[in-house]
Amino acid sequence: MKLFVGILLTISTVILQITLVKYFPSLFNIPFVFLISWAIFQDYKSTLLLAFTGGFILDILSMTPFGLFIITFVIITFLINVISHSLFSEPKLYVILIITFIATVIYFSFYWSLAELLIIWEYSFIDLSNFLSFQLLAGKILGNLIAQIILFKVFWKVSTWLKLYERQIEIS
Amino acid sequence: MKKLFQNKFWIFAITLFFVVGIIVLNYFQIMDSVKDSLYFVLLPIQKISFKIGDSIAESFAILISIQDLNRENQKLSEEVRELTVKNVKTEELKRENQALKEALDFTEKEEARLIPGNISGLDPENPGDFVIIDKGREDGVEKDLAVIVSDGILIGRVIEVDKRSSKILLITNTESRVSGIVQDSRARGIVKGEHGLGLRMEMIPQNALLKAQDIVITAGLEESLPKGLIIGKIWEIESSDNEIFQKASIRSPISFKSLEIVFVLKNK
Repeated sequence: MKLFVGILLTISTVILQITLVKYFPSLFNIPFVFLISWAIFQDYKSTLLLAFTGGFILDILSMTPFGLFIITFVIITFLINVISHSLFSEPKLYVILIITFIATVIYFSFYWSLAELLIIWEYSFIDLSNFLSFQLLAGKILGNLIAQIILFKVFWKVSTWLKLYERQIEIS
Repeated sequence: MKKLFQNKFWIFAITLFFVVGIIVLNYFQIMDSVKDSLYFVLLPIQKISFKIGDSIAESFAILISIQDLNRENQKLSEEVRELTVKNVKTEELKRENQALKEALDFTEKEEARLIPGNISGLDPENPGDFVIIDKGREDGVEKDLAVIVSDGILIGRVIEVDKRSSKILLITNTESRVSGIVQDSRARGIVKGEHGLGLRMEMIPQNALLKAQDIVITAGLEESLPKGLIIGKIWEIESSDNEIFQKASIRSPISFKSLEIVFVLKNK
């Protein structure tokens, strides 16, 4: 049940991202923000699976070399899962926002360095230096933080509901 | 074995190995059928979500732009008047041209085939740079073909073709290069994209006479781009005596954000 809800939410965030990106270009990455929340609150196995699913769909729909989103999502969300589970038992909103901030910086640097590498291999016509700017990073951080604040409340409810559901199954 | 799988780092390593495997499989085009099936499922959903998004955005835009509409309406009325006069003159020139062509025994170019396609996706990270259309290899789309909107306005070229979909590099992408001609002065230059936001014509000779509102068309120097496709109108000219070339910012007559139906231009 948890995985089903997770996959459904991941696909929904990908569709939401593709719809909203038309009006707010390059401002946020909703699937990534959602996966950060999932990694903080849920177990690593489901985190890896959802990171893979979200990354795979984004890779298919995006123009950057295939695999870029999957690798970025899998590595970053796994690290968030390991770190947050060993440091915080019940993370508060400000902790999640700090994690989102750091994760966005890592995501930005990691995504574009990896893209540079893969583009040399596959898509020589894309010059990524045009996209690497401080303004873009700042915009992305701000966008992701806003998205996280909005998503957090929704995710908190979903997460509580999922935990309750799992407990009920365990009892029965 | 059980212990091995209980260790989260091992599972992480196996996942990464799996991911690398998928990337390698994709490189050898073994993933194509999986990608096609996913496109088949995702593209209709995306189309619906686009329509919902557009209708929401439109309702907001209507509220905001009533004043702008009045101003634009006046401007358009003036433009219609000017265009009517121009149209009469063009019609006369057309007739004259036809007569000259016949006289010189000019052979007409072969007509191009238009493959209509719906915009079904945008790049999630760089929306002003690429679009996905719902026509692919099966429909006759090929790499490097020009993509236009119905009025012969160039929007980009095909960079990747799948079975039922294709990815288009828009001319607003920084890496897009199209050789263009200013219709009135016949000055040549290179039209480049500006971070998905606009267009810029460079390498225009300093002695070329340019003016705002001049129309820029394709020069036809690229193999797959026919001559005469509209790129846009000159908006601002940057000229300096110290420079060898002039530059001009160009505005395309279409909004790249609201593209819906496009045509892939294929020679018969």
